[in-house]
Amino acid sequence: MDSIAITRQMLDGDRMIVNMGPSHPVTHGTLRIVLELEGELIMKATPEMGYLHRGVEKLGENLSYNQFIPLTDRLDYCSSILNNVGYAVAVEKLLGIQDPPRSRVIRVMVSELARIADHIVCLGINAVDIGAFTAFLYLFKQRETIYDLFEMAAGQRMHTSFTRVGGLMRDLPPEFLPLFDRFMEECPAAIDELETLLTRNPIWHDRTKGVGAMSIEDAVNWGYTGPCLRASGLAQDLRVAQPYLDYETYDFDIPVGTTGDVFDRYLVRVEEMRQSLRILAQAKRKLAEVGPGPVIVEDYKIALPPKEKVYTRMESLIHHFKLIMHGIEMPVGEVYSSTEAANGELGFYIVSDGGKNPYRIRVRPPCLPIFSSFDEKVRGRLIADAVAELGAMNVIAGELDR
Amino acid sequence: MGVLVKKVELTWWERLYVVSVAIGMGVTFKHFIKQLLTPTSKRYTIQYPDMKKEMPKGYRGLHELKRFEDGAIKCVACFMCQEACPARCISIEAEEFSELNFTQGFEEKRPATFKIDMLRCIFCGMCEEACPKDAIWLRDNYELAAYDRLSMNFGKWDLINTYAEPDGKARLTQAEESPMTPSRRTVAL
Repeated sequence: MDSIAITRQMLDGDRMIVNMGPSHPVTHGTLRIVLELEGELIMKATPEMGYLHRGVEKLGENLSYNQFIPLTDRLDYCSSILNNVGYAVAVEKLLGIQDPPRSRVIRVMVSELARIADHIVCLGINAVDIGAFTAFLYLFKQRETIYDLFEMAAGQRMHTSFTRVGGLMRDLPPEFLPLFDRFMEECPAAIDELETLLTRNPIWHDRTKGVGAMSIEDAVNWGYTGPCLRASGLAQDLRVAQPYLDYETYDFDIPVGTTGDVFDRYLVRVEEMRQSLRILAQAKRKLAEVGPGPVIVEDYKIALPPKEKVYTRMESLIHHFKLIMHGIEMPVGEVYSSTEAANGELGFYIVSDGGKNPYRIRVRPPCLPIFSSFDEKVRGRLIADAVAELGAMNVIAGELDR
Repeated sequence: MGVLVKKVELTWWERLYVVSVAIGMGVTFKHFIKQLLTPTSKRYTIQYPDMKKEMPKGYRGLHELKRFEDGAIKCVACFMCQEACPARCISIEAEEFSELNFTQGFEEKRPATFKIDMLRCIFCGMCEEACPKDAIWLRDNYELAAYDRLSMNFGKWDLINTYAEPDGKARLTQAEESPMTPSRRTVAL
């Protein structure tokens, strides 16, 4: 595959070149796809990435471990808490610590909320791209409630920065749970409505069935993870395969598809939303079981001491100064930790030389391998199929380009 | 933990487009009627700027530099927020001052300049977390707009006067006016 798109001068024959993007409603974020067309058939699609490249990995080398958390918000900005959690889990693995039980339950709760929000965006926008506008409208109300919940918990809707190394930024406020209960009541009805509109709709079937189908072998070879891999038929979920945050204690099913086309990915995502709701109901029960307690480790060499102590006690003030000025005392070493984000396996590879800042941070974005197979999936198909395919891949440019 | 295989095949009558169109229109009309019967004040959409959303406690909006009751700035120019800021948008210059009334002739430290570049700020709240003196708060104002870049560069006096009302939110970890809040103590000679 040529990495550089063909220009008009290099071209011979009758193929027409069409730029999809960098700013096109169907490319969520700024990514460019150069299509070579014969009539309306795509002969070749060359994705070009890097329009949203911010150098997150390089920036991470100049920021302390806690300061990197706001940058993880901006990776997959549709579900920023999942990135926060993934990063915090990675650093904790390097430190060899575990966050308190209450923090673990809250992390699971917000992660699953974020997963539902991400799937809502993916499904809603995918439907809009194909032409089914209605489903998007009614689903987005639920996403709005999720964002209100995030706003209460973390203080901001999108760029949450909710986790810290060793726990959470703060505990859930008292008004969180009533709204959460309302969401748990309303969300299943909204998902049912989505299914009424789309699942048995022949137009939706015609537009999505068979588009971008892929076998399990191909999907694994391309490096697929997450809902796209599960749609091909492989029941692979990191929450089950290598549990983190006590996911092994929650009871949920892995939905799989059969062919891996856009329609199967839709089915898998819808079912995953339902399973996330199941996990949320269990997490709420667990939260009551765990009861009130600390949400961040009480080791003042890792996490900041509570403000009351900082204002009044000398020892805590010294810890506070030391932690912010000199950072966490990290062990020398490297770690790869992966979590199941909404798009698939989100990995963080961190190399520490014992200093305040990490020596190297590498982010493994789930949608990069998925997006690399774009050419193979749309070759010989119509432009409208490419639109459906791109939406169902759920390519988030912030995560793709980093 | 089971595996659910998802598969949907259409029956012949679902293949007739009319049926699914009717079902879909049913959902749309249900929402239409429901929306029509709801008064504007109870609808889900907030008609900004006529209606405004009430921000929850602990929202991370525009900063405020806090002052003591006597008007002296709480900030002691310890540079912790500048160090903790991931966007590097805070710049502080410290100065020493001594005044007979307030400090009984002792030298104390305070910021000569305290600038936050709001165009660089990402409102992550790490400055608030890093402050050992409870001097910087992120509060509920999210409406930040200006005609030029220079006016988004907030100085010390801008930051002190960002909010008219004294307290936007109670501290999350402690009650207001609790003995834990740092208060100004005069040094007895």
